[in-house]
Amino acid sequence: MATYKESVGTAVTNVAGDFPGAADGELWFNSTAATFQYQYESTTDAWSTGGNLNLARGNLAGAGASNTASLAFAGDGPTTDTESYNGSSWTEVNNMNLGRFSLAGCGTQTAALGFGGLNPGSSPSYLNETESWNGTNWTEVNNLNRNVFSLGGAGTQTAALAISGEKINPSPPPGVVDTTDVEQWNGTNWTEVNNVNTARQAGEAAGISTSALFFGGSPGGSVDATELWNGTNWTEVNNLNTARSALGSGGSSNTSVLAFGGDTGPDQSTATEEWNGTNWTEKNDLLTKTRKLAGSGTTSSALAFGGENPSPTAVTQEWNTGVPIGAWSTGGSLNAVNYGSAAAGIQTAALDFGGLETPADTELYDGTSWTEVNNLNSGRDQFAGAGTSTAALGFGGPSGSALTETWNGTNWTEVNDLNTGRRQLAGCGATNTAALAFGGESPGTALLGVTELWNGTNWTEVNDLNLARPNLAGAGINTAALAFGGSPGTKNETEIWNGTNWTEVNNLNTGRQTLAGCGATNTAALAFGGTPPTTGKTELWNGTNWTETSDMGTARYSLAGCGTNTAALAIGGYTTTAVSSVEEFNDPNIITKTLTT
Amino acid sequence: MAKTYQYCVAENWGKGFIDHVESSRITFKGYPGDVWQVPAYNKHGNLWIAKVAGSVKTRDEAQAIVDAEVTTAQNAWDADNVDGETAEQKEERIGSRPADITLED
Repeated sequence: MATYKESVGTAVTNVAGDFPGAADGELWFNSTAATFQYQYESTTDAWSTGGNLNLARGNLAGAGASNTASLAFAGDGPTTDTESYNGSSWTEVNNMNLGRFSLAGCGTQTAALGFGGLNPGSSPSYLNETESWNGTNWTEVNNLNRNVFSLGGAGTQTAALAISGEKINPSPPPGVVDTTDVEQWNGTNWTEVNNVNTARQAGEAAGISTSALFFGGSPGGSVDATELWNGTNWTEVNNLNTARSALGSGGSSNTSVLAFGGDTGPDQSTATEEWNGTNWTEKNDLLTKTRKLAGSGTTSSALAFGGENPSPTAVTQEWNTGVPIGAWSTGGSLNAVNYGSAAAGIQTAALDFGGLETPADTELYDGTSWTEVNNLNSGRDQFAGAGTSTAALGFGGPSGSALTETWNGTNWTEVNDLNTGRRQLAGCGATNTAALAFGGESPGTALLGVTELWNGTNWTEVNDLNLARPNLAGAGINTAALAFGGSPGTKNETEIWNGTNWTEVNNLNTGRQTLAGCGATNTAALAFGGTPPTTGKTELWNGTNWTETSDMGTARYSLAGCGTNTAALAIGGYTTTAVSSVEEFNDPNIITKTLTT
Repeated sequence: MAKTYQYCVAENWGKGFIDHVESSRITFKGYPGDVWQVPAYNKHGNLWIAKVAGSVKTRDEAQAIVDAEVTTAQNAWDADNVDGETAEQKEERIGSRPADITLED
């Protein structure tokens, strides 16, 4: 067996602990833990628009290995039109010999096969003609053994499958019938092989002639049935999540297929699902509902083109994986369940204090685990915090408390009160000598926009928030802060503080209250959690707008948050009960894995 | 109640109209008549509308455009008949009748 160095070209690096400089997938030996490890960046996947077809049409066929090299041919009309895609635009190339629609296609941009279909002007209108594309021209080759349209196709130019569809009834009475027939192409001739279990038209197929998948379709109504071809037989396997016909796909085998769009009967679909050999998993939707479209490519680089939405369309959509995205992972849990606490510090040096379950408790986080340290003098919840794990400030609280305490790394000390006592306020600040308190609610349910500035000794009233509200979150420092969310109901309002005034800016995508926030400035913040409904939604603020990023693993509200927009901590909170769980957010998110035997 | 979505009309010119980074940041929904839905009060949505020179529409204006497109498609579907064909056969031949679409607030 080859060694790692022989396979990869370098020896395994020996590192005492993590290896931040490692490339994606690069193996290193963690000499501290005595384990082999590797890391990779967290990513997501998404559809985007590609270049439009020159001819809008549905019921076309496609071929291609990726979203940068595909072929579109034939379609409603019927047309012989053929176009080639280079990752940006479609170019007209030489047309097919016989116009048709609802045919099947397979292969690549430079070596494709088109077969079957319907041409009302032909006799019979159901076709058995097969054409082969060599990258320049279509050539007529040997016919299918049956005349069939709306069939599935998979494989390559020289090794393909023609699956099911609708054919002319071979015996009286005259008419058409859905067929279970399957034929295999060896580059020269079509041969009948074992049938599918369920006859249907407008089903979709992907893979190669010895390893294919056939799914969806319409035997009198859209179905979710999926069948797997192992080169000899078809076996019924787990169904699509969304039953549909006239969908598109990309895929390389019976273990790797992407299905998208289609006709659900009452409507068209944007649903995208990925097959892993066992199950279909829902992925991000197409941008536009489309049926009778064509597809090409693979699960990591696919193309959806043409179809109806509901009129004939030229729209092309590209599927890409590997778009970098931040992500949450589990951190060390608190020593006790808690919610309504306040927090200060960064992801690897944080302080969590107060809360409804443990009102006076203070816990210190070192990036791995929480340690109980000295308590607050006055236990409380629904208050705010600011500063660091060695220089923190806690202020406000239930019943409209004005109490302020300062943490010096060892003990809490009572200092001068807020001018306006309140609960459910927000706060921020880099240290325990420079903080900002804003919003909240005073007893009697008066909503407050009051803002106060802490200079290390006293609180001073400054200009109010534009929207008075409690249960909001904050981020930043005393001269550059951000206020977002709140109640009553759910607020998505966001205001930015420049040291003198609050200005309304772009809203959160999802309004919510009792959320958490963090961030070092008013141009780089994170909002996460909240209610109602209880959510794990997380949004990134870049100084201008909020962008949705990965959700927390556990939806929760009345949680505490600290850190930055690229390295944050979500602490405790309430789901249907108080929780002790903690999550860490990282963007970019480098996931470290340990090899196990 | 504050609206959740905003609408515009913009012709999809193809590559770059919506790139994969934009698509990963906010949810786009395309409708007949070149109507596009993006989140309201969202700078990413606003920037994208500006990029594509979208003509901003109220929900009702966008709904009217979508309705007209769907009605055209429904009329075409209704007119596409073959003698002796049953409703089921027609659906198998040309697909289901285009459904009405209701835009969200």
